[in-house]
Amino acid sequence: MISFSLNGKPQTVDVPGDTPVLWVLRDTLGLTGTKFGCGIAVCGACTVHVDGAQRRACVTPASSIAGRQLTTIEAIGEDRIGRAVQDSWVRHDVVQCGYCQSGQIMAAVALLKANKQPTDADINRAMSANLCRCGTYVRIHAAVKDAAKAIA
Amino acid sequence: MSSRAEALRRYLACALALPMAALAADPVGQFQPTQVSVSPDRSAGLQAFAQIERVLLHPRCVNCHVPDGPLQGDAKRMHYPAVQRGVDGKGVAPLNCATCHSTQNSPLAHAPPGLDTGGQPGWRMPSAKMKMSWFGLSGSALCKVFRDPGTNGGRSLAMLQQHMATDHLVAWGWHPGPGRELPPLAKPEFDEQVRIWIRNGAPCDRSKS
Repeated sequence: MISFSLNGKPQTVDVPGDTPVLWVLRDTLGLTGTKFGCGIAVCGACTVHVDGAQRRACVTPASSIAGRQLTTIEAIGEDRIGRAVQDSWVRHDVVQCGYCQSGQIMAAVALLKANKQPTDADINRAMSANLCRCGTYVRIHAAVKDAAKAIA
Repeated sequence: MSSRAEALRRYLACALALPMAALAADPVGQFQPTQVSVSPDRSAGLQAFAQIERVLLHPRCVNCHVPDGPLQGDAKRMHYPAVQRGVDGKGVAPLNCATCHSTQNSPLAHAPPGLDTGGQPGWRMPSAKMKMSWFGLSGSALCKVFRDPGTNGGRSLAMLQQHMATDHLVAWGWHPGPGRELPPLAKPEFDEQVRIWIRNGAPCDRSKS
């Protein structure tokens, strides 16, 4: 049994410790907002927050989140910065196919929690680890800047 | 006291000190530091360091022993994404090493390698305070940076040897996962060359750089 906080609520799962958190979320708990992309921590589609820091859920073993705070896309809007990022995403009509956008938003929130006034270079660096096959990078960049203004 | 004399004093003080802290940190209690011989063979020591150098400059080691952000891969390419060292060597939020480097290597090629430290992701590079950069160095210049506690993380010879022999991030270099070249010496052979180097006074070649 592995216990942790999931989106602010206690959660216990009966899975082998080496089960990736992405599998726990999607298969065990039915939270499918976090996406499977590359499966090797390279694309960022599966980004979640563990104790506020972003992690690639596809390579994060369930045993490593025991006793920790796990936040997923399903609850990121309950956070002030998360809400601001989601609102900005809508204003800028960022999404095209949408598959990578859960990870993009989780990465953007992680950036703005660490750096509330990111420069263009900060945004480019921080968001460079999340790939978008539709090429929505320009809109992502604009939305992050706009969200930063909203939380200033 | 001149800076050179001060550096020598610090080196000797560390080299001669009992490595109690290092021994206490050894989880299996099997590490025994090599003592410097009463009649060191300088030539044998220099030959041993030449072998050690081959490992230190291998991508598995030098990719993180760099002046700035890390490199990656056998070709020592720029790291993707463009992460930064950070104060503690674990990256700068929101892109920390642990964002992508989890607790174990993936069985698939091209995946970020992983390292387990107490059940948590343990990937890191040297801290900003002590970068321990070897990039661009070779021969006696590398040897001196490697040996001097002022540039090697504050390690005595015993602590340096223990780091090479028992540190799990060092050991990862010989278990790098698929698609990554192994260092040019096997781990036992590397450890033996470190012992030979230290037994013979841990010499650095004065005539070459």
